[in-house]
Amino acid sequence: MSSVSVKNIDKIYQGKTHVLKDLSLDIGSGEFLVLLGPSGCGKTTLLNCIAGLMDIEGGRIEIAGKDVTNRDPSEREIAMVFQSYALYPTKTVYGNLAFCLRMKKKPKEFIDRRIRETAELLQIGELLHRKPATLSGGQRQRAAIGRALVRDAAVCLFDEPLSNLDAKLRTEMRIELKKLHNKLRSTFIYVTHDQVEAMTLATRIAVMDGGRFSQISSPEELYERPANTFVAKFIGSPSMNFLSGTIVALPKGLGVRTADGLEFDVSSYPFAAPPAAGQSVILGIRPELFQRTEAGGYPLKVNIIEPLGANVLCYSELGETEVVVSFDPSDMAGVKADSTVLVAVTLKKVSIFDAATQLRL
Amino acid sequence: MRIDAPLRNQIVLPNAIPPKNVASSVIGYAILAVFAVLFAMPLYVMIVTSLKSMDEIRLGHIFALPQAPSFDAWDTAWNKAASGFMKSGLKSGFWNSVLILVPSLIMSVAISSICGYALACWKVRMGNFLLNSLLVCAFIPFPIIMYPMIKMTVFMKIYNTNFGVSVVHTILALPILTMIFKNFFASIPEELVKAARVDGGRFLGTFFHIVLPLSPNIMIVVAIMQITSIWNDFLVGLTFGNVSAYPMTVNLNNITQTQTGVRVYNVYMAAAILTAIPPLVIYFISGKLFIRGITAGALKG
Repeated sequence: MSSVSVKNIDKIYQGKTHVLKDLSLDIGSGEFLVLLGPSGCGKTTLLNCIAGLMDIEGGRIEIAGKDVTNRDPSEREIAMVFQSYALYPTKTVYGNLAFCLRMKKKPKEFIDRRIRETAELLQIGELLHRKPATLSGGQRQRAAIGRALVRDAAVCLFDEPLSNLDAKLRTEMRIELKKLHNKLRSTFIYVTHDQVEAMTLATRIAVMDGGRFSQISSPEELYERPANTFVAKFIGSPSMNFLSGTIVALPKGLGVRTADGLEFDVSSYPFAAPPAAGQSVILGIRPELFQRTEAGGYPLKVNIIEPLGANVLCYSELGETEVVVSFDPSDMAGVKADSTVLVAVTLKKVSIFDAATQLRL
Repeated sequence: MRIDAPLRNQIVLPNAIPPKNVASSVIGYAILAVFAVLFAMPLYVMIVTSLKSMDEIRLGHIFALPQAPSFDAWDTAWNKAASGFMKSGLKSGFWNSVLILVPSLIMSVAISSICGYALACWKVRMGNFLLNSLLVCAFIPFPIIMYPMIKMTVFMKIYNTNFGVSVVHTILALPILTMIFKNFFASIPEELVKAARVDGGRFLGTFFHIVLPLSPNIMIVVAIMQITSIWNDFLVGLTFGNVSAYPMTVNLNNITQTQTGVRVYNVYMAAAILTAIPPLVIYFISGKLFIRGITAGALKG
């Protein structure tokens, strides 16, 4: 039962800049938790605080049930993979892997056995005698991961490890990381600004914004039911369309009427608390919730068409709001830019946010 | 963020600009030749004079080649020349200089490299204040602090000893060396030190296993600087040294200054060359390394 527990931590730079604001987070054993957020949101700072590379100004950090708030990184049972890999340039890959075990004064045979095992796991056996400067990007990446895994730490921290790789290699390493986690079942904490990485790797994602957690939940939950407009906009590409409107009572039940007069029936929407009529809201509709329809739909003015193969993106106008719509290619056969089509919306899956608080209703 | 070995070892020189015409290149070479001759002249005079006999020197042809070259003056300078009350030549001074140089070289490099490493790679409370103080200290002329330092070394009971001279050299070198090391270590990627900390490296473990192996070039530069400045020092050796165990420079001064009677120029010249040989040898052996080390500050992977 090894887990990380972050309790009410604060990080303030030079007594002025409040970077992490009262953050609390529990990470269960074997979890793959991804810290996701735009640059400057504090995700790498949080990782560094968990690693012990930065002091915190308030709160507690526990790893495997022990309070490590004031402990040195070496006493925290953690391993870390850095964005730049930070392989020791004067040591061979073998020396890089051996360093932490030597620092712990493990016996030679044990070190050798652990390195062989790890090298086999990551298929870097042939690289062990080479210096980092002679390795390719992907090989360095493997060596850096090997250095983190060789010590069998309770928690592995990853600081944007794939961001220096080219797109193809990144996809490959992503899948390998997922396999590795499935095999090892140790706790991974992974920082990234790439939502695809986050969605594919994580068992749980913590979205950060301005030093706070916006939402912590599974990838599916995050996508289907974003807790606020920030998460709704940040997750998904192209991002969710927002239409502002007010709650009105329609003959069938509750509805949302936009300023330009479009009405959406949201009677089947699971409101957390019943909204008041006349309340200002934001209606969030994902691009793929639109379908072509023959009659009774909303008029959609298509401005630009981007055929991507698997789907077709249409930059268009719904009423007076600009929206991005994703269609199946067969739906768009024969449709030209600057034409108007009729669309229906899968209203069961929309999100509704309070216009004032930006929180999900 | 790796350090590229081939790149690091390569010195990029500006491309030589091809001369526009023969005349300008001839003029250029002529000017260079004149300066080269001017610089080499004193050395030439010293060498030929040291090989002449006193009778020949008295003729006054200082540029003439020796008629019967002889190393007698060198032998006298090394083994017999009178310095103060003793007639033991330069060789005792040579060994005193070595005994002063070795400990002060080891102490100054060891202490300043660790200080620079601490200031560059670790969070040190009031680190900036310390660094600024060092900067100020580096510019205080030695004569100003000489007297207080004599009092201190007397108190520490190392005044008038070779070790005392070593300690003074070490202290005087610390500010500038610490800053040199600090600047070099600051160019080492921060994540390397972080990785070493996560891997369980403590302060000294990280220094010896990760940082030091990256620093042979700067070590060589600092070593050369220290060897030449300590070897060529006169004032510290004179004021803090032992009367019966002065370093070579003071020894040389005594040979040339305290003679009564005949001024044996051939011996003086030989003694001066002998004193200057060690730093010259160091330069010739390590000149290439020295330049490499100076440019190594630009390394970045």
